Amino acid sequence: MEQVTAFFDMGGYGLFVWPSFAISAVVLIVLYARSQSRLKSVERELAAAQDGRPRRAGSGAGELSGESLT
Amino acid sequence: MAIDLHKYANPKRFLAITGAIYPWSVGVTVILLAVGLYMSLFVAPPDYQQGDTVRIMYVHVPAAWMGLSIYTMMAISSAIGLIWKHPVADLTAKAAAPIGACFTFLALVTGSLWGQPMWGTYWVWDARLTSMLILLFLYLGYMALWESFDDQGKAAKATSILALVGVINIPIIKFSVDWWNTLHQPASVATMSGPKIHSSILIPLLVMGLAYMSFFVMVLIIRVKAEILQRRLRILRMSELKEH
Repeated sequence: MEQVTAFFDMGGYGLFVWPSFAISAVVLIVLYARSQSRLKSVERELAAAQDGRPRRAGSGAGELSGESLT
Repeated sequence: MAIDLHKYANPKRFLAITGAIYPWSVGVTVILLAVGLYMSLFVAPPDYQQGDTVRIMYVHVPAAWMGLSIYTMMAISSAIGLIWKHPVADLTAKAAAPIGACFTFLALVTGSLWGQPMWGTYWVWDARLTSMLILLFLYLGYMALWESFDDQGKAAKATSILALVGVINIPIIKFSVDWWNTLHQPASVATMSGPKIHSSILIPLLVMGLAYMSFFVMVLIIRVKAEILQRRLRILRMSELKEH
């Protein structure tokens, strides 16, 4: 138990060490989550736009659809 | 309306390659972060002068490295976009900017959290800190400039020029600690005579650096893909408008 307390105390500097690690974690996790959710929403919009459009041979639009790349 | 398929050849190949790399980047990021955090919090010794605040360095220095390298990469990408009109180059720079901004922000905040107990102040207008703050503003200005154009071609051009002009700040940041009398300490890893710090500190630092790099690759792949698909969507909608 004492060891755990000492670990969180960080030699008296816990108030500076832990916020540094915490803010790094929060910023990077939010960045990842927002990037991922933006990709998903663009994928959805693109799929919807392509569904609403009749495919024509050689129009080029068909070439752009139906890929899943991750 | 005829769509120039040649234009998609590159992005398509790009997506295929990055799609294959992505799962690896996730695995490598998770493993390196786990090892790096364990080493920096449990294995690395406290500094004889700084005590446990030295652990802040393990999230501070890699963030600063990434802030600088991502900007350099954006400037190179922008130059490629301007000169060879490579269709993915501009989008890569655009996708990288928010990641670089986050790392730069983290370098500033964690540095400030170390400065208070060690220097006795959260902030000082010394050359290293000020040039790093300018880097953050360059990232934010670059991102704002992309949003201020409707015409994506013009936006790519204007933002590329901004990225290239701003790259002058990178050597200023790097050498600020040698050129001026700063409160910030000079380089101790990337020096001409090799690293000057003990391996018990250097190894966790390098592991965290690699973890951040891998995290960057992972998020960049996601963001570039979103940019490419967004552009397809825009072209698709424009061609529909012209048909109706």
